Amino acid sequence: MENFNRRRFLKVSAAAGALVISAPAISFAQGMSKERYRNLDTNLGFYLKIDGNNKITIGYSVPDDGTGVSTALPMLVAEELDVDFKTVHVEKLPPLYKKAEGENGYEDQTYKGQPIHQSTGGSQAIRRSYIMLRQAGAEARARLVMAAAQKLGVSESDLSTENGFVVHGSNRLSYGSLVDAAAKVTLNSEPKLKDYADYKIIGTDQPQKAALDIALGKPIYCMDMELPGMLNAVIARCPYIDGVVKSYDDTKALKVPGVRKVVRIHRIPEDRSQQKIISDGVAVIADNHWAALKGRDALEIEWDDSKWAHADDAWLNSEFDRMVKNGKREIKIEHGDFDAAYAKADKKLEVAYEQPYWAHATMETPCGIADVTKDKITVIAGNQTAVRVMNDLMQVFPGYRHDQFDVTLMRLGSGFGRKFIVDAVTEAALCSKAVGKPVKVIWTREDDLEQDFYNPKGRHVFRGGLDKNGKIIAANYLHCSTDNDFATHAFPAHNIPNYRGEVVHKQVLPSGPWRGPTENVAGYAMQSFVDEMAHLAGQDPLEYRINMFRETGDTPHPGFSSDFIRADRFINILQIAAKNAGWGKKLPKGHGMGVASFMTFGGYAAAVVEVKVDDDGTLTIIKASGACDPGVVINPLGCKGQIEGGTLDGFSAALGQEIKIDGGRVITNNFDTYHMARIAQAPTQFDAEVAKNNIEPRGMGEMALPAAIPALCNAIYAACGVRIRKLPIADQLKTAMRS
Amino acid sequence: MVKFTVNGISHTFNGDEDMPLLWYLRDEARLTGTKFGCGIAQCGACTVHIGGMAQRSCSVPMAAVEGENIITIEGLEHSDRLHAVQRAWLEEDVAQCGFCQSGQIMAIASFLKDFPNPSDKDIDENHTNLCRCATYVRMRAAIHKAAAYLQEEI
Repeated sequence: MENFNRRRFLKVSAAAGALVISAPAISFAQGMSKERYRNLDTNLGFYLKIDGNNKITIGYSVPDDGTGVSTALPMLVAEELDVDFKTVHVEKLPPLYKKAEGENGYEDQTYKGQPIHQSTGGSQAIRRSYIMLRQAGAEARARLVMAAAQKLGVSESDLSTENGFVVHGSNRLSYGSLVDAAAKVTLNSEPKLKDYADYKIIGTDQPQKAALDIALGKPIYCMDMELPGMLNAVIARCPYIDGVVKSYDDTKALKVPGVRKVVRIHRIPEDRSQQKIISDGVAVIADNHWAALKGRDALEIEWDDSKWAHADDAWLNSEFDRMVKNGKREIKIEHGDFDAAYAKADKKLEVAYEQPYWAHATMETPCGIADVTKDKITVIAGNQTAVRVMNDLMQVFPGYRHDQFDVTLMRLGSGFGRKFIVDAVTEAALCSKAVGKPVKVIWTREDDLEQDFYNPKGRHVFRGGLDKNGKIIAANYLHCSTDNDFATHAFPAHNIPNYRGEVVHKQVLPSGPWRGPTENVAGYAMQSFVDEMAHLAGQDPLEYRINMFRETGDTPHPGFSSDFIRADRFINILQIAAKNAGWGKKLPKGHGMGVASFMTFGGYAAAVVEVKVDDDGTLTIIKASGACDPGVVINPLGCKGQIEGGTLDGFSAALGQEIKIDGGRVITNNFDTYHMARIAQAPTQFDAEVAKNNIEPRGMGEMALPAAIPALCNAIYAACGVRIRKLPIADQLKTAMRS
Repeated sequence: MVKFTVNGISHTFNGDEDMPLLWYLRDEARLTGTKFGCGIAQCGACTVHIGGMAQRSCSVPMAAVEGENIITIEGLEHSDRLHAVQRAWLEEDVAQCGFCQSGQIMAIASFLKDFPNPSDKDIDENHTNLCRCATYVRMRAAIHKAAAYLQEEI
């Protein structure tokens, strides 16, 4: 009965001839454009609406950054509602809040007692929506069936639903014809959700809903938007890490035709010991982007570079030497007695892996549009979470209430974690306030690569010991990083009886979440280490991993979105990837195959990669086989796309990406110096496969990459005997093969 | 003054002739399907056709388009029929975030004029547009499919 009682939080209404099931919210009561939502009660939060013409809309606040949520979410609703999923439209809502007790008086809106998830990132969108959206669909369907039963004078059990109709023998009533009555019925119990075996839509291949708009170049991104009377701004941000403007002269900039105003932008937060959100700089506001760029070029600025003037790559590497040698170690995880077991080991390996800073380099650079007036702040943003946009803006503009913000999130020209940071739109709001007009801020690629919140640089030092049978009986993993986020508990930590995971942290460049935060580099290090141990033991690296899972069984994995690792799920995807790759077959000279497996945010990934290394060190990735087990697969076509993209994204990072610093500033600031993979680096053969099961799903966006990088490195070793212990791979093979 | 056509319509431009075509298309003509990605002709997100050839519009100044016929992604389909490359892109479900894809499609529509039946090697050597979502697996399949469609259309 508890579930049923929760339904009192729901609001069911017949608004303008439509059945609307919603959770009340307050955020756009006053500030929102009434025009855009004119058919709806302006006090709606998350909603499912079916109108008299059978049009079905869900109002939801999760944006799509290319991982396909805007396709998968309607599938969840359509499954329970029994409609063609293509008829379900998604209207992106502003941040959803409800009134709450407590300090600020607001909290995330809930549906049936659960908070509504409002961001894309952390592979959470599907996970957090899986139950809620199906519940909404089931609620609507139950109401429509009850309304039809009353209309026809029959029992509900005599009725079925099919593709938007309630069916009674040859009599078919469209949902649209029932909406008024359905809004008024009283359900006797909480509608039951379908069994997995009865799914007709979940588990079917569906192309991206936005694909046609994309192919036609329709304006669907923040950078394409405009507000009436809008100006464009470009900002000269201090290129030196944590530096500030000492002085500036805007005389020449103001003479550039089209330039309207030059505005000082102050660092947020002011305290330079804290990581920046907004860099210190000077904004040039002009009629169009080009004029603003020319104006920026004409600025004369003297920067204070004193804080990190000594920082360059050599210095940073020596800092890592120091961190390894005498950094303050924090033990994150320890079981058994590493020191005793290691001392007794039959064979030992001591090895370190390194990886550089990686930039997000989202295809759409950071961009934001804002119009700040006395009573209202209107914002168009390309961010991963509407809630953080509003909360962060409220910090910068404390004089405004929640209901004075109108936040619209557009489709994202990729996110990868970068667009959790609410910087471009905050800058736009600061510019708008200064100039009294709407302003769009576009970051150039140089701005983006110089001012990013990078994936941290790291060094991973392992000591491992084998017993006489080749089993790992002891391992010590020390992860030194420029960020305070670690995954020393990941596979194979719990498969090793005597294990100690330790960390040392020192921040230099600002860092932030980057596809599979922490897992992305832990996967590389830990799965390279396992591979080296397998070779040291003289055992097949695939069988070695499978045996580890078989012997240990399920293990704890107290990470984000997971509690434990199921051995059978890992073994299954390892076997799928190996089968698709033809693991064990005889390979031509110079070819090699590598394998890796890793869990990211509750999702299981395995990868097998085949490469060819020529005598001169030329590397060709021949084939990649990726297998993932995210639990219930909503859209296999979309999931496979994430395996393909995530795997190749990993290859791209591993092959060439490296943020370099010199003189306290980032010097790899466009695609001529920051090397990302093109189609020529992608294998011509690719197998992507998802496991089938009915376990509650996890998101697909991040899980493939952490297994892909070590699988590539392990394949290179198998092909030519060169072990990649430092990323990027760059020209290491050419150098190694020469000597 | 610079005179040219965009998607068959005459345009004249009286402003700063240093301005790249990209920013004219986006800010003045309001044709935002052509995207900004790097500003230095490295990524190809801004690819348009000038005189039938793929060009990276971020690095083409307005002074250089006098008398030219320019086609953008918005003008690629003909008589309400999708271009073969667009069709192949939809059928292979290539796009993820989609931001680079109009540039990819424009680049391939031009590439297939020179390589009507391309090998994988032809693709690797000539197609250099960057896709941050790394949709290269499906992109390659779509390129081959589009080539086959164009052969049928001849």
